[in-house]
Amino acid sequence: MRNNVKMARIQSDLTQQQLADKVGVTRQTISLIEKGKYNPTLKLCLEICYAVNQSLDQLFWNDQEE
Amino acid sequence: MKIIKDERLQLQNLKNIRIAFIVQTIGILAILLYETLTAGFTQARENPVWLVFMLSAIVLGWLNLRISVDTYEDTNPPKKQAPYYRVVILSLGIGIVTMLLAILGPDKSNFNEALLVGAIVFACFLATFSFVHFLRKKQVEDSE
Repeated sequence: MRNNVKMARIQSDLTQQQLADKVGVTRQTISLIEKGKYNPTLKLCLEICYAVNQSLDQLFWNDQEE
Repeated sequence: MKIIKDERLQLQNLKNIRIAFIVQTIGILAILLYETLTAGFTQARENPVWLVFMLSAIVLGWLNLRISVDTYEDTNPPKKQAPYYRVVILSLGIGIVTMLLAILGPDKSNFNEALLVGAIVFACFLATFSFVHFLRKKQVEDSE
């Protein structure tokens, strides 16, 4: 699933490890989310949004593909 | 050392447990099959492993009842639920019939044995019917 987590993380000047520590997961999980290879729970999505000060829409919204 | 609460790893852990469960079940089935082939089915059933197998199958079945969904769309409004005492009476009836069958049937059990059989059948039916009763009750409450 495509998302903007990587962009947001870089804008917030965080490394994968720092973001992982903030939201309480491993760095590998953050890496997989950024690559779109892991589907995070809504809870974790929200944690990431809080950590980078952005909304769910900004990070995870994709327009529906027709 | 910090405890990691990574949801991805927890999920992975569950998947690993599932695989271990499959392996274990295959092992148990292999043991039982071997016993059946070498010593007969009656002997295999006396093996405590048989109990473990049946118990886990029952637990799995019961847990799966909770995640099942209605396979058909109920077009009629849900019927009003029968009160709980009807469930008890029905189970009691089945228990008494089983008891009579044990006394009068080919087994010719004495009264105590028949009472035991009847009580066990009563308990089994009561447990199952109660479970269904409360599932239905919850369903009715949810649909309101």
